[in-house]
Amino acid sequence: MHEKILTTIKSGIAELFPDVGKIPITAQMRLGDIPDYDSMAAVNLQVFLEERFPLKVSLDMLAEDMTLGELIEYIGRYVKSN
Amino acid sequence: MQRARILSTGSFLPDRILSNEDLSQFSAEARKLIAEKTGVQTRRHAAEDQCTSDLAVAAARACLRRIDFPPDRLEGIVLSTSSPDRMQPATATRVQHGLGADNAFAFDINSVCSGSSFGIAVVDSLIRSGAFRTILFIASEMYSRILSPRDFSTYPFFGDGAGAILFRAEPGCTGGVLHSCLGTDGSRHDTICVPGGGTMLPFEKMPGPRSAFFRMKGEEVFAFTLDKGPKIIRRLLEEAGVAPGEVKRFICHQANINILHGIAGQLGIPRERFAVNLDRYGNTASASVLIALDEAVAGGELVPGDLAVIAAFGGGLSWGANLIRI
Repeated sequence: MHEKILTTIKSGIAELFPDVGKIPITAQMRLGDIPDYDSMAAVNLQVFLEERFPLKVSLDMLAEDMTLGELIEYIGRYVKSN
Repeated sequence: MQRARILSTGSFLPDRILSNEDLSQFSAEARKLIAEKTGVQTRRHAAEDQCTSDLAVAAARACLRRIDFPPDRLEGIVLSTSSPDRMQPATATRVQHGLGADNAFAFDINSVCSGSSFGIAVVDSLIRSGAFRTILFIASEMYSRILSPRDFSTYPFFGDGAGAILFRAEPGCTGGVLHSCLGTDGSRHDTICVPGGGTMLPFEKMPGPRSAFFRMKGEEVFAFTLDKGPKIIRRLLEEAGVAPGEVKRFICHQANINILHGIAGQLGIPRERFAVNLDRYGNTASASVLIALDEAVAGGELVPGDLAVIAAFGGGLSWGANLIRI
C-alpha cells in the first residue's frame, strides 16, 4: 500500500511544484526540500492529499521537516483505521 | 511644455463579493491565513458573462461621465491588462467599440501589476510629444479567470476590477504627471508568469491544464517588492526635487498589507498616508492603483493641487513610480 501512496504523492508533487524537475522524490525527502515549499504551498498539498485520500491533514503536520516517508506512514495508518 | 493633466478618474468593481469564508475549497485553518498573510478580507469576482473589456468600459464610462466628456472626442485609449479578453486582438479594441470612441486609436500594454505606472508614463509621453491631446488610460483585470481555484498561493489574494484616468494636454500647466521612473529585471521573468498558451509553451505541448494558470513565487516577490518599492519612490522624489512630506497620498500597488507597511516603515512615512483597498478588493493587479486613485479623488482625500505618488511592482519583474499633481 505504501508504494501506491508514494506514487500518488509523487504525481501530486510534480503537479503542484513544477520546479521540482528532476530532483528524485523519495521517502527520505523532506517537504522543505521541495523547491518553493512554504506555508502557502503546504495548503495546496493539504488540498491535494484530502482530495486523493479519505483523510484530514493539519497544516501543522505538513511542516518543512516532515519527510515523505513519515507522511506516507501517517496516510497508511489513517486509511487502515478508517 | 505641455503636460498630461488629469481631467477625471473613474473605477468599476463587479457586484459579486466573496469573503474568505466563502473559499470553502480550502480548510478553515487555511482560510484564517489569508487575512493574516496579506490583509485581504474580501474580493470581487466578475459575473460569468463579463470579460475584462466589460470592466474596462464600465470604469471608462464612470470616468467620462464625471465630467460629461463625450467618448467620440477621445484621441486614444491605452489599456493596461495582464488578463486580456483574448490572446489577440488588443482588448482595448473592444473597449473602444463599447465606448463608442470612434475617433480614438486603441492598444494594450502588459507590464503585469506595474502596468498602471508604466501606462501613465506611456500616456504622459504621448501627450508630451505633442502628437495627441486627449487620451484615456484604463487598467482592467480579471484574475478570477486566470487563477486555479485550487491554488492557495494565488486564488484567495486576487480580485477583479478596473480603473481609468482621462488625461489631456495642457500647455503651461503645473499639474498632471510631473515625473516617472521605470525599471525591469528580465532575468526574473519566470518569477511571476502564466507558463502555457504562448509561443514558449503552446497549448498542444502543455503537460496539463495547470500550465494555463497564473503562478508566482510569493516569497521572492515579497522580498523584491520590499527592496525595489522604497528605492524607486526615493529616486522619484529626489529626481523631482520633492520632499516626502509634500506628498499627500502614496498610492502603491495593492498586493499585501505587510508590503505597504514595510514600504512605509523603510521610508519613514506614516502608514495612514498610504491608500489601502486590498482589504476589500484583494490584489486587482494593474487596476489596483487606478481604483485607489479614483477612491482618493472621489472621497476628497486628494483635491486639486495635491501631490500624490503612484508606485507599482509586478511581473517581469518590473517596477515603476509616478509623481502626479491632481
